[in-house]
Amino acid sequence: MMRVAICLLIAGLVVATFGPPVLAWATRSGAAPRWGVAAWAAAIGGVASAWLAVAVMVVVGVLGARGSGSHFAEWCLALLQDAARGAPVPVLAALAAAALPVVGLAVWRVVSTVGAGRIRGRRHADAARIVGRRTRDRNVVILDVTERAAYCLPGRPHTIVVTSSAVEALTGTQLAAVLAHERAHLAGHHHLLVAFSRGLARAFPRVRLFAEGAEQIARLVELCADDAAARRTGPRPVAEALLALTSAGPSGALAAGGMDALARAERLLTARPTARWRSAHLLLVATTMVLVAGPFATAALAAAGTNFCLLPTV
Amino acid sequence: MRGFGELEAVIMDRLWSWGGTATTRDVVDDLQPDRSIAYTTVMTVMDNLYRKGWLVRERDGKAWRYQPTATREEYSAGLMHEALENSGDAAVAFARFVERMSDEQTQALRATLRRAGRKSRR
Repeated sequence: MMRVAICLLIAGLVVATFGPPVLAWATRSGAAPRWGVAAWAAAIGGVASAWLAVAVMVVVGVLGARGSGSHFAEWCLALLQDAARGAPVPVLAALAAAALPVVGLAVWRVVSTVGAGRIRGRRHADAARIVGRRTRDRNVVILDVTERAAYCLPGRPHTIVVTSSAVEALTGTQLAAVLAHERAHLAGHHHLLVAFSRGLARAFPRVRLFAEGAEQIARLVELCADDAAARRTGPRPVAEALLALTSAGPSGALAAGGMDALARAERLLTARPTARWRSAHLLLVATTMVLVAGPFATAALAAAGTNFCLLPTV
Repeated sequence: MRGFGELEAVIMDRLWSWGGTATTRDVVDDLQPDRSIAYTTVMTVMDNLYRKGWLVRERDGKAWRYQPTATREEYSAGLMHEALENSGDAAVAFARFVERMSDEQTQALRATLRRAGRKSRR
């Protein structure tokens, strides 16, 4: 089992190291953003679950090796005493002891980040439903403020907030495009993808795959929603709405994501050479498959007895 | 629960448009022509709104006189501020349609739209 664990650990490291540049390159054009999201999510999910499996295997393996008889707590204590006395401590045992709190803390961080966001979002939505003016669609409310903005809050029921200034700045078709964009976020459960990947990035800020993946997923779900809106109204109203809703800040003071709005509009307005997009699509599908299958195929091979990682048999 | 949320919005809407204070009886009398609604229901909802901080109240004989804690404009501005603050926050799923842009970028975007317009007309 330890050999499987080491293979998984290495496979995870390989994907975590080489995944980001490959995926960033494959998803850069914004072609087939849905597959782009799938590829990043597969890489992140694959690595996270592979490492979680490693932690579980190490713990289980060590627990099995400690022999029966002694109580787990006593065994831990003895281990600590050994370490304090400077006596050699089995490496795997130390690993196991270290893995438990690290994994526990990481899982707790991800869950609490996502949970806190949900609570805050729901509270905001409840307040918006009281303060905002209701519209014919019971899930859309209009907030009377001078800023031009539109955003959505997932929940039961979902809430879409549009400001009165935004409504004034948009034509009917442009407003339909904005609403279609927000509805696509809600229908696609994009908030969950973004929240989980960001939670993971926050729990492991050093892992480039998680940090970059969270950013890329946030970018790509916007493109997914833009495409959904463009399917409904045509691409031009979506691009026009982007311009109409930009609140021009002081020049130079560039807010995060500002460049993306321009890139989004350009992407919407440029004709798409279908052949190139199709090949980008295929590339992403293939990448996703490799990323999903890779770590687990390695583990399966190792489990089947193939000395795939060329490790000395333990 | 959903019905209650809607009633909360309706009651706050009335109180804001009145501007002054009101008792549960005032609100019930105002709502009655449009919908049949029990006094106790309105009382419960107004009590909830008080507990959630939307209303302040003071004794007026046997009844309570309620008043909104803040104006609708103040609440709207507060919500907008929260949404803008949190849009970059990892924890909150405020999926905003578009972020802020600099003047240069707005110009570039306008130019892109113009170019695309010319192309499609041709």
